[in-house]
Amino acid sequence: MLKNKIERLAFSVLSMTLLFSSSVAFAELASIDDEDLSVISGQAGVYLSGEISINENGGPIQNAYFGDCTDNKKCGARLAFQPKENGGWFVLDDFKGGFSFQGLTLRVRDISSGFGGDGSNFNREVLEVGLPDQIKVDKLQFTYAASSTARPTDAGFQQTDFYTVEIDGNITLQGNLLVFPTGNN
Amino acid sequence: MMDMLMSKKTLVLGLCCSLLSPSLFAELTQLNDEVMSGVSGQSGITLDVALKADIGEIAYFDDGAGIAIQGVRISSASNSADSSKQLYVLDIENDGSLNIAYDIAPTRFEFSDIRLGTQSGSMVGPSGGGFFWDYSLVGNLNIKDGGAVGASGYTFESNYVMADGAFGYSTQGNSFWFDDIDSSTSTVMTLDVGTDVDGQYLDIRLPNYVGEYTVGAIRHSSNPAFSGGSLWGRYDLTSNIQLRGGGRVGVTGITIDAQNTINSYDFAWGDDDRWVGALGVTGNYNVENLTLDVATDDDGDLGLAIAWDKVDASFHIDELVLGETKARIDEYLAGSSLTGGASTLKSIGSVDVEFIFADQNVDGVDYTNIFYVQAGGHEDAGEQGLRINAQWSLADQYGSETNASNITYTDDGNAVMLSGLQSWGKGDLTLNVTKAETLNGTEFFDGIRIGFEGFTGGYKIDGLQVGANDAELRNQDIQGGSELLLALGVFPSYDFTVDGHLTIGTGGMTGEGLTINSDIHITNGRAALMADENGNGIWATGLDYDIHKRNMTIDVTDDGLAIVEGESWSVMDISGLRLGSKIDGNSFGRFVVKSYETGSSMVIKAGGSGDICVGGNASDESGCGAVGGIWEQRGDEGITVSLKNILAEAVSETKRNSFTWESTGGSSASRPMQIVFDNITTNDGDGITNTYGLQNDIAIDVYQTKVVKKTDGADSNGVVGNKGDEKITDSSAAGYRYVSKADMDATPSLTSDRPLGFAVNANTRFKELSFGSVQMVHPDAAQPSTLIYGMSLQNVNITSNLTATPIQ
Repeated sequence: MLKNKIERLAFSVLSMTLLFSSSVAFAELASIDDEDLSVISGQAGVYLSGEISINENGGPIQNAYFGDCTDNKKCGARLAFQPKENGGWFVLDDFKGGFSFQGLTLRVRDISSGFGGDGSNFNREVLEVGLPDQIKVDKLQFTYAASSTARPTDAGFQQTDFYTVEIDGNITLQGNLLVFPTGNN
Repeated sequence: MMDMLMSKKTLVLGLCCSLLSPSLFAELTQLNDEVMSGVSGQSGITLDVALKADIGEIAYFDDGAGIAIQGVRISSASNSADSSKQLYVLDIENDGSLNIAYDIAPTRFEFSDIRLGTQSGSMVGPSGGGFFWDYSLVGNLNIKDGGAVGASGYTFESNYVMADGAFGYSTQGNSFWFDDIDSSTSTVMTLDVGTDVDGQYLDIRLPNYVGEYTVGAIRHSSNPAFSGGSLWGRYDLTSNIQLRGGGRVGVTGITIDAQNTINSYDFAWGDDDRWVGALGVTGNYNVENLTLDVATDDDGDLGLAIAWDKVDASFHIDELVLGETKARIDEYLAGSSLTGGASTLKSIGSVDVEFIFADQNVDGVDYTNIFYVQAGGHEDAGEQGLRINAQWSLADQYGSETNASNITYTDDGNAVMLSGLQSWGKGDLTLNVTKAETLNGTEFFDGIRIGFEGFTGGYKIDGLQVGANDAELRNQDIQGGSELLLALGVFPSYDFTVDGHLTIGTGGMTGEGLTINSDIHITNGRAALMADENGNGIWATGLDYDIHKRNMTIDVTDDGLAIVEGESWSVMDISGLRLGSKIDGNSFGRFVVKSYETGSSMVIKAGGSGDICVGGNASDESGCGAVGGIWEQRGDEGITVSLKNILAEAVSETKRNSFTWESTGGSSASRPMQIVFDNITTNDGDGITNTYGLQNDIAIDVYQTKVVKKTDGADSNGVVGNKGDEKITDSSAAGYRYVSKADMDATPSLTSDRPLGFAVNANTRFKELSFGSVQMVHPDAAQPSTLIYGMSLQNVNITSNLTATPIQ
């Protein structure tokens, strides 16, 4: 069960990565070795530790649909978008949960060597996102749905929930995400 | 020898009279009983003067060019047709000193214009505007032989109380002034003629310059009933000044060197009895080779040229207080227990500042510090106004000294330093007092208008250093972290050209306070979203940022400093978001962000995150541990900034909220392609009302954090550890070691030695964020392609606790 959840999350992360890297940005995952690490010494850049939580104790709306997390109402966030004019709405509903980590690093890195000789050909700067080894996911969940209106309080509101995803546990994310532009401007 | 001594004495006495002239504008009024009691029984001279003076022009000439004040008048403060009543009692004391007791009834000293020129007695051309000073004085001046350098000098002991004071500036019939000024001062000053390798100089020393002042109100002539609030200050200063003849330009002029110590200074600005204050200020500042000349600038325009070789300063603000009553501030300064609230002041902590203004070269351009004060402000505002042709140079390195300029913020004993602060630039500043009207096509507002014309400059920091506020702080590795404050508009580096104005008026959201209207246009901008000390980072280049604020009020409230905008709109056009170098780094493309807000606000509060559970959802330490979180008690100090952005419906092409990303793709033949997120608005979840907005609470602390080693082996400092070990500070040469999880579990007290980091706790929440459409736009297509016809994000409450430490 947990494995399935982790696979779903990994897929989501990969999807997000591809989305982010499309068109003008390109990303790759690469292990950072000791030689590369030695270049980092004394430079700016940042090592981040902490957590991000979404609607941990509910959101700011209190109405017939949204409430706090202790009653029967939905307490997560809701995203609705309309892909067709005057059509229905895709919904990501009741989005809540959190994750924490140690060791997410951010810095701009000049790659002009290494990588089995490819570095000298590459010879440019990248935004390096050093992934934390472990991410602890705390009851991250959301529901896929389709709705007749943007808001659950709009007149004529009807919604069909398709399925709910819940992720809970530790995820291993190793390596670096390298982001760089490939356009010509 | 005797002649030389006499000539020195004559010079010193002459200068004394000049320096002391404000109190000797002296009119002789009736001596009141209090003053009389001090001189009773002594022999002396009493001067009872009714003084009314009208002087056409008083000018100072330097190498043939002069600066003149015109329309000089001394009169009664209440009626310019009446004389000022002044009383002086002169006595020779038993010790041979001359004692002058004086009592000056309310008096006005004013002049209508400041002009620069070469013709004595009839200077014409633009005017710098007029100043006025109201005062009544009761005091005593004692002059005795013998200065600080030798017997040929003089010592002056002065005590006075000033009341009924006002000080103001006027242009085009509009005035801005400090009202209801009261002050008391006690000074000992010595005056000598000294000699050194550069020749003779006037040696002025003030070993004890102490006093206190209050400004009851800040007013503007458009509505004198409004007040910009009150000011209060108390000081104890020591100054040594060396004054020489000859300036930087030509033969004549004035040169000043000064060494000053701030023994203590307390300052506060109050608004309806809620105050912000800088308490317990100590430090020093020194001036080297500051020169005053009347000289022409590079454009050939005449001005009073103020320049220096070096100004350095180092000072400490012990408490930065927000939203306190004056009574509690007084209790704190008196060392008493605080009443009427919490037992401690609402303080964000302490601040230390070091800076050196000196010559430097930035990107191949030499910068110095010189300011030409010229007549004539904004050209559409009228004949009167001030213009300052400014060039400044704040150096991050001076000689062998690195990190010469920096700012350190200390919160509950832990500190973060903005290291390697550097700034440079040149351009024109203008100063006018204006009223709400449109003149020659330019819109003006009520208040004192600070204008920027071709103001080209920049600033940068090398990065942050985090540690205990001690000598070791400077040895900590430089790290990032300012990225966490981008929501507050904090950029680690910024180059810009600024045109526009900031007009400061009186009256706040309620009662006292300030009202700001501004139009600022930044062009040729390059702002770093993140940058290292070598200038590599993510840069918003080719930045064109047009910002407008209307009726933005600033008030001090119980919560802190509250800034509320009436209406604001801006267009930020980033022609290239570059990675690496700000000059030739590759670009992610062009970004255009339009913003239109009504009723948005920002409140700056004392106090950071307080007690929080990082990595878990719990309200106490045991509960936090039970869910696997880390309980952090971040203390009483810190800063919290609460933002509320109300994104309004679009009303025009510029007054709208939209985000555009434009990319030319992978070849030069590609036409620009855009994705546009348009008409982004907030509402209260019903699609109708819009009062909740997009709220952000950002709390800033310096606090310990858990740092885990990411690879086996030695790190960049040669400290060895295994993947997963935790970084723990110690007294070793590196300042830390790595400890395994097993050892951490065996010795829980080691958590108190976790390294310090720059901690930012942010909570973002909104009821609804709505997008009107998401469109793809291509120049070859007749119509944009709509990807999404509407998007709504509801009921969002996101909290992030992130702590930044160096990469190792």
